[in-house]
Amino acid sequence: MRVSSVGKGLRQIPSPRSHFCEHISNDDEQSYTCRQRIYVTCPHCQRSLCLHHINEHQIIIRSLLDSLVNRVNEYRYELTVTLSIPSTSQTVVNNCLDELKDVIIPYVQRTCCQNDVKQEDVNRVQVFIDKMFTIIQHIHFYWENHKKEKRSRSTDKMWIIIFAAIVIFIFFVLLYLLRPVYRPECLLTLRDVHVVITGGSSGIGKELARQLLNEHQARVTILARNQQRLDECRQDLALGNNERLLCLSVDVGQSYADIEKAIQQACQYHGNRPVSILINNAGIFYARTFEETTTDDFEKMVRINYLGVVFCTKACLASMRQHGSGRIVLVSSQAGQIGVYGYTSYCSTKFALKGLAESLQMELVRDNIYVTVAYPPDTDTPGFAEEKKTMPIETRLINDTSGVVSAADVAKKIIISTQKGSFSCWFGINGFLLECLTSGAQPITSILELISQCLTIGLARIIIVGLLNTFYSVVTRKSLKNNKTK
Amino acid sequence: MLLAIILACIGAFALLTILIYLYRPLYHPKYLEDLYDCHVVITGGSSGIGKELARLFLNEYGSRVTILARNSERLEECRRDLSPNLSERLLCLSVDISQSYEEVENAIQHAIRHHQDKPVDILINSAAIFYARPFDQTKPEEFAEMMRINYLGSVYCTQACLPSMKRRGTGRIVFLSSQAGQLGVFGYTSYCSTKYALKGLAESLQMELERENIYITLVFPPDTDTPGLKEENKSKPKETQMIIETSGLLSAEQVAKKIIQSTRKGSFTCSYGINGFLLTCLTCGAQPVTTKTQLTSSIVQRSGSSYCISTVFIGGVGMACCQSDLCNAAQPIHQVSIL
Repeated sequence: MRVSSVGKGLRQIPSPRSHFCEHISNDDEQSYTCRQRIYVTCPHCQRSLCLHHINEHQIIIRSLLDSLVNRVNEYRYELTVTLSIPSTSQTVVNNCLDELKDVIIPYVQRTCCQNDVKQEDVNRVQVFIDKMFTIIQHIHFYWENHKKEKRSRSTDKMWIIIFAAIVIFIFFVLLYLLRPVYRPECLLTLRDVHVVITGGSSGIGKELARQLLNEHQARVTILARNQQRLDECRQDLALGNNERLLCLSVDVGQSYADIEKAIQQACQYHGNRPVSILINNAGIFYARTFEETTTDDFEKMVRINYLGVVFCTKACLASMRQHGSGRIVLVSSQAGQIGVYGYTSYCSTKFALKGLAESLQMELVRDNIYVTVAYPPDTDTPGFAEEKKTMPIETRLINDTSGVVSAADVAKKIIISTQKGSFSCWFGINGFLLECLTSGAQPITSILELISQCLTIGLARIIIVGLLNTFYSVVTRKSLKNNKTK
Repeated sequence: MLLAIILACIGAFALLTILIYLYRPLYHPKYLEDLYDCHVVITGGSSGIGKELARLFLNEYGSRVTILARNSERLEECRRDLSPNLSERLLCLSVDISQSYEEVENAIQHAIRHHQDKPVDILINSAAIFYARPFDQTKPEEFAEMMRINYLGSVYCTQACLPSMKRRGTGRIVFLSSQAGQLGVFGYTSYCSTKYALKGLAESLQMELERENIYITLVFPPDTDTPGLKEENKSKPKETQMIIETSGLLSAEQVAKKIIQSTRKGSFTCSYGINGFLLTCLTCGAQPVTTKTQLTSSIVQRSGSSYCISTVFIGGVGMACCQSDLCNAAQPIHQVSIL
């Protein structure tokens, strides 16, 4: 908006009240006054101007002022709302408004009517207007962003809520799909419950019998081979429990008919009570390398550890079905979860027990009979003391990595697991890791088991491979030592 | 912010590399390149998977094969089928591996002498019986018989072949388990136990034989199209059939091919298909690893997902059993809810 400062416009000094238009125009170096008789008076400077020239007179600054006032009006609301404008901007805005009110508008009013408006004045006003617009734009921008942020924050929250709702929904669907396959009823009281314990004359079986007789007042039948040990056991346990305890001498691995007879005899003795809980604890174990194990050893171990369990279970099943409920406990071992040097025959039989348990549970679930497999670690029993005498060195070194537990602790936990009806019974942190690791395709009886197994499976695999590395290195080192001594 | 993410990724990657180094495979079996003139002993090789294995070994690899089986008729048929020109690379011996150890030992000695004093290189324990029967309907003698043939038979053969393998300084032993040896199923109480026992045997045996450079492979084939399976199908209980239908049927040739591959590599397990892979990852437990990929895949796959899948599967078959209208017993109160 350049205005020429030469010629056009008005006379520098306003004349006293004239009766004609005082506008001066320049054409070809000749200037003449308009002298139009019909005129209006400029309200600011009292000069007389014709209608044509009054617009020109005021147009220069007026347009600037008009646009400024329009803009200010547009943002008046936002500018005066104090809530969302930061205090610094508010001060600036107030200063600008004051400047507008006190300085600019009077100045514009004063200068609009001068003959020629100087460029610097126009520039000054333009600068002010630009500054004002910039501030207004900033505040507008801030205002828009603030609104957008509020909107986006609320949309973000909405997405988070939707996502959380979907996750929770999936979680509940999974919980429903993966709910435990069966729910055994917890056996709250074991009073007068008929419990058959094989191999109950020593070790874990004896502790089980002791606890069941004394703490739970159950009725116990012990089946074992060695008559002498049976008598000792009877003397030990039967103080005050005379008629609740029955000791029968039978070899569980020999013939099925013997076992059937023994079970029937036991049921009759205990007042025609069918068997409620069968604890298959009879087992032999020794550690020997594969070459040193004879075929007889293999056969014997299979017969007693596996076939004995099968025969006893078959014999007790009929009475359990008659009773309408039952518990079968298979005492396996931590060697039934991981194969170790020197336990080729023993591991195989204990692994076989696990396979038996899994398939048996699937068949017995509709009869309300529940199978529990216990995996005790090295337990302080006479059998273990025997085994230690002939253990190969490598096996001993490997076994040293895990501790020895007492038979009483093992027995207590087995009884608790049987009451609950859970599928597996583990001991200690090692046992927990091994159980999570080898849980495989086992059924679950509580959702907590599933969650703990899912979470720890990957880590347990890493840990066990590290452990296996140490076992294998022990074995290889031993062989090098042997070769050197040779 | 981006820099932090990059640093975290690098750190995780470095940690993973260190872990993979620390948990590197326990042993590295040498890949058996050349199977020409290798002495392979296959038990139960007169039909089914064993026969396919013998066929592949004779025709594709030119090895020397000894087949041990019970039924001499089937042995004769098998001989005529596999080597009509009466080649001396194939030797068929009739022996019941579960009866006595001495018989098995004699048979192995005989075979070694026949094959020009070549000690046994690869032993494939494929002899087994299987049938599906509920626990009550299985007689005690049947339990004993199955354990004897499936488990003790493998033990005797392994014990008989081990001295010659040790003398040679290298060897491979293959145990044919089954997918029923990874998870227990209705109707397979006796069969599952024997196959689980093979797994326990393999794990502990591998720890003992690792320093002799003898490597064990456990094979988990699903249902395979063999005469044995046809026999079994005649007397299978309905529940078992419903469950087994969920997995497919493989041909004996496919199974045999993969077995040979795994044996040459010396890997500890051999599984088939996506079902087999999932089951192996799920039940690998404390098995040794032979390749880094096995380790990482087993760790990564053994997330809750594969566990959940198997639990859903077990739950499903459990429901199938409970709701089967074939069960005669009255439904007890504590029944599983209906899906």
